[in-house]
Amino acid sequence: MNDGVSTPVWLHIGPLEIHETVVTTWLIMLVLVVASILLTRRLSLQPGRLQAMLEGVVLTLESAIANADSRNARRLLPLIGTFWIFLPVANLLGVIPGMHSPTRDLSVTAALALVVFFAVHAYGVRQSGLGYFKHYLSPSPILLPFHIISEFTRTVALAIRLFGNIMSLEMAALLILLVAGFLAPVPILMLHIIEALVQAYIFGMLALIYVAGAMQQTTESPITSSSRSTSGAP
Amino acid sequence: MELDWTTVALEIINFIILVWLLKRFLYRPVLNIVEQRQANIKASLDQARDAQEQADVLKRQYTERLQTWEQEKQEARHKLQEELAREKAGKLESLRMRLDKEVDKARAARESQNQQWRRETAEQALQMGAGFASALLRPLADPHLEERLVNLFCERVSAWPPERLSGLRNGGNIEISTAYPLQEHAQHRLRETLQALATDHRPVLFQQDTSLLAGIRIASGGWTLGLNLADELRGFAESHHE
Repeated sequence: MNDGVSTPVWLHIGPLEIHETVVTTWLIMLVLVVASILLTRRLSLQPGRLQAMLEGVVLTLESAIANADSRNARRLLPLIGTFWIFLPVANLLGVIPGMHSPTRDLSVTAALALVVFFAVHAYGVRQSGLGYFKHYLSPSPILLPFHIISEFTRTVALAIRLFGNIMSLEMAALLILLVAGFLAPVPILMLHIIEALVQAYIFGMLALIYVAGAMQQTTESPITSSSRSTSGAP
Repeated sequence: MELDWTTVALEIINFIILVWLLKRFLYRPVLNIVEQRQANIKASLDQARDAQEQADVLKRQYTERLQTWEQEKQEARHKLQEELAREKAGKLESLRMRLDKEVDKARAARESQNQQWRRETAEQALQMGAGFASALLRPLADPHLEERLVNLFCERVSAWPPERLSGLRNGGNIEISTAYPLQEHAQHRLRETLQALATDHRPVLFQQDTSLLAGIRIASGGWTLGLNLADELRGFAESHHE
């Protein structure tokens, strides 16, 4: 039963139920990987227009990451860059008639938020060793429960924010289409495009701030405090 | 709106795989080519910097070499000017010496010419004097003058030293020429005087020679001695050559 919120199951692999969002994600992954292979197949030292554009995209991503953590920009590029490439495509997929954004599924956004959650600690441990966890006891061990709550709430907020925005936009577009006719949803679709890009940027930026903050725990930086204050943003 | 943990797990795996694939097929190739280009640009910049440094070094060397060349040129010019001055002085000295020689030669030629002219003038004067004296004495030539000349001869020759008379003593016959016929006593005096000087009784022959104008000429073999107007005048005219 499609209630407009839950996603249908498309495949069964043994006991596993493969939902539409997973298949859509595979499709997006296939497109992105094939496009990457095609675009990077004939790279030359003297770039053409397409290669210049591709290099511009990658270097812009690296530059944006370097603004937050210049020392680890190259290390953070695969994770954060993939967020910034995958999420716009996933968010905008709902604009195409008959298709749905994978990010309208809470399971997908929760999975991405969990990736961020584990990545934060993985990068933190990799950077500072097990001493990374000491920051949960600072400035006072009394604050440990609050730190832990903060970790979970920001992860939940990360998942809910993306899911809520994308799902609500798709629902709004669908409702307006049903109520007002064919041309009325166009402004909503344009808003959907902008919102999809903004949400993708916010998700990637928050992930970047969390990870960079974790990598800089040895010296308490403003990024950490700002990231905590940003976690509550809509 | 429920969480499907299968989807969550699959999405986590999907995303991790996507991160790895994009890293493998997108980020790494692009960043590699960018780094390669930056390395090439850096190498080009380093090469350009090296070329610039080499050019600076070469420029400095060329500047120093130009200065050295300029200095050498100045020194060579000074040396050339000195050599030219020395050469000029040498040539001027040589020219001056040649001019001096030419002046000396001209002076010598002029002296020689003057001497020649003087000699010719003197000879002409003597010839004229001789001619004048000859023209003056020719009317005065007579037997009395001749007799006085003979007497004078006899007086002078008797006073001569013996070595001046060796030719007479070693000669043969004594031939006496006179412009006029001699008187007997004159012939006798001459014969005695000459035989006394010759220290023997050699034959003495007398003959007349009007070309003598007045006076006598004595010959014995290759030896000749005279005291007559013609010989005296000729001797006067030729005295310049002696």
